[in-house]
Amino acid sequence: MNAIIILAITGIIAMFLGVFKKKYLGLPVVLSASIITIIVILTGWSGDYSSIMHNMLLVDRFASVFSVTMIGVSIGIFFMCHYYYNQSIEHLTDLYALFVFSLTGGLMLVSFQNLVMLFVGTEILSIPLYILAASNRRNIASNEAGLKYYLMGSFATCFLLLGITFVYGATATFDMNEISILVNQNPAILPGLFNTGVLLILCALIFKISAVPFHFWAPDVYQGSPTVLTAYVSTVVKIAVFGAMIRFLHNFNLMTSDNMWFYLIAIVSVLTMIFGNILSIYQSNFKRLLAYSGIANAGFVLVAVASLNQATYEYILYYFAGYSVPTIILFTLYSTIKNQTGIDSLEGMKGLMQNNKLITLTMIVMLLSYIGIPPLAGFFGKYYILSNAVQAGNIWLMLIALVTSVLAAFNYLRIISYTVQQTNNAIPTIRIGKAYRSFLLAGIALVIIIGLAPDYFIDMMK
Amino acid sequence: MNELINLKDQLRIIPLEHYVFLCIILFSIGVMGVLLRRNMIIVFLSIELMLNSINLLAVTFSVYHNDASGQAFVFFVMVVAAAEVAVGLAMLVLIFRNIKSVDINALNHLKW
Repeated sequence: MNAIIILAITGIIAMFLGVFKKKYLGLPVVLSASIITIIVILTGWSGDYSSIMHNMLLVDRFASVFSVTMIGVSIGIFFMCHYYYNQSIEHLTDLYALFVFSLTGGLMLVSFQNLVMLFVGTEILSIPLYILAASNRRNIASNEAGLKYYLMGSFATCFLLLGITFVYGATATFDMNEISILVNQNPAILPGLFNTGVLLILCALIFKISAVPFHFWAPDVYQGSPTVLTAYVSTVVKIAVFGAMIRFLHNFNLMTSDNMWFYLIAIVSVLTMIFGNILSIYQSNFKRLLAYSGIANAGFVLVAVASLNQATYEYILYYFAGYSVPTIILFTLYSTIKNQTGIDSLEGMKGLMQNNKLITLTMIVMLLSYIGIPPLAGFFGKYYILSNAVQAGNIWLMLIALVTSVLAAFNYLRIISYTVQQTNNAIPTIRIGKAYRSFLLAGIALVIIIGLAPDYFIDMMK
Repeated sequence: MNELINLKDQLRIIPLEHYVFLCIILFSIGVMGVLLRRNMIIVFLSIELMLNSINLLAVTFSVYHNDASGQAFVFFVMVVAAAEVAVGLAMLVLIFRNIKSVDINALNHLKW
C-alpha cells in the first residue's frame, strides 16, 4: 500500500517538475522514487500481509514479488527514456509521470482482492499508455497507434466490466474471498452467469497480453508508438496482467483439474505460440518482428499459467526477468540505429558488425538469450516453464512449446546472420556515448548474471 | 422510506431477465457500433453506450441482491469512463489536426 502511495505522489511531483522548468530533475526523482519503493516493499516483506481498505487490496508475498519485478524493469525503461527522448523536448517530465502512473496501476493490478480493483487497476495501467502511444504528436503513425490502442483497449475494458458485473450478478459480491468460498462450496450449482462472467474477464485479460484471438492490435501499436512505450508494453504491462490473471485463476481454484478453463488457456497458448512465431517469419520490419516475438512469448508464459501450481509464479517472474532485459536493450538499440541512420528493416541490418562492434555484440547476446542458449537468462526461464508443464502432466503443451521455440530460434538467428554479413555498403559507425556504452554492458552483465544464478533468484522470491 | 421500499417492490414485479436482456441488447448495439461505424465520434459514443449498459446491469443486480456495492461500482465505472473519454477526445482532436478527418479508414498506414 505504501508503495502505491509513494509511486502516485512521485508521478504528481514529476508532473510539477515540468511546470517549474526543472526538466533535468525528472530522471533522478523517478529513479530514486523507484528505488525507495523497492526498499519499502522489501522491508515490508516479513511484516503483515493483511488486506487493505476492506479487502480491496491484499499485499501478500505474491504481490510484493510481482511489484518488485515490475519496478525493477521500469528502472530500465526510465534509463531508456533518457536515451530515447531528445532532451530538448518540452514534456519530458510529463512522460516520466505517465510511466509512473501506469506503474501504479500495475501495482494495484497484481494486489487486487476485489473485482472493482481489478477494473480500476487495469484502467490506471492502460489510460496513461494510450496517451503515451500517441505522444509523438506530429507523427501520423504514432497517432494511429494511439487511436488503435485506445479503441481496442476500451473495447476490451467493456468486456472486462461486463464479466465483472455477471460475476457480481451470480454471487452478489465483488470480494474475491467471498466469491471463492461460494465457488468452492458448491461448484456444481454455479449458474451459467458466473461462467460467462469468468470467460469475459479472461477474454479481456488475454486481450491485454495480446494472445492470439485478440492479438491483432499488438503489431500495429508496437510499430507505430514511441519505442520506449513499445518496450514498456511488452514487459511491465505483460507482467502486471499476468499477475492479475494468475491471481484471478488461483483464487477461484479454476486451474486445478482438467476443466474447461484449463483447455481454454491451453488452446489460447498453443494458438498464440504457433501464430506468433509463424507470422514473425514474414516480417521485414525489426520492431514489428519484436512485436510478434512478444506475442509468441505471451503464449509461452500461458503454458505456465495452464499448469498452475504454488511455485509457478516464481518461474513466470524469472522468465520475465530474463525476457525483459533483452527486450529493453534490443528496443534501445533499434531506436538508436533508427535515429542515426534511418534504417528500421531487417535487411538494413546487413553488415552492422563491420563498423559497430559493441552494438552488434550486444544485439547478438540479447538474441541468443531470447533463443535460450544456456549461460544466458533465457535458458533457465524456458527450462523452468517447460519442466513445470511436465510436472503438471501437460506433456503435449511442452512439446508444442519446444517446437515453436525452434521456429523462434530460426527467426532470431536470421537477424544474427544479417548483422555479421559482409557487405559493401555497411551501416556507418553509430555514435554512442560513454553512458550508453555502460548501459549496454550492464544489460549484457545482467543477462549473464540472471542466467548463472537461477536458484538464487527463485529462492529470493520465496 | 416507505416509498423507497415500494419502489423496490415495484421494480421486482418485472423479472430480472428483462433487465438483463435489455442490457445485453444495449451492449450489443454498442459492440456493433464500434465494429461497423467508421466515424470516430460515433465509435466513442458506442463505447459509452456499452459502459452505460453495464452500469444499468450493475444497478439491476444491486437491487435484486439487496446489496449496495453494485451501486458503488457504478460510480467507479463512471469516473473511469469520464477519464477514458477525455483521453479519447484529446486524441481525436490531435488526429483531426493532422489528417483533417475523423474517418477511421483514413488511418491505415500500419499494416502487415
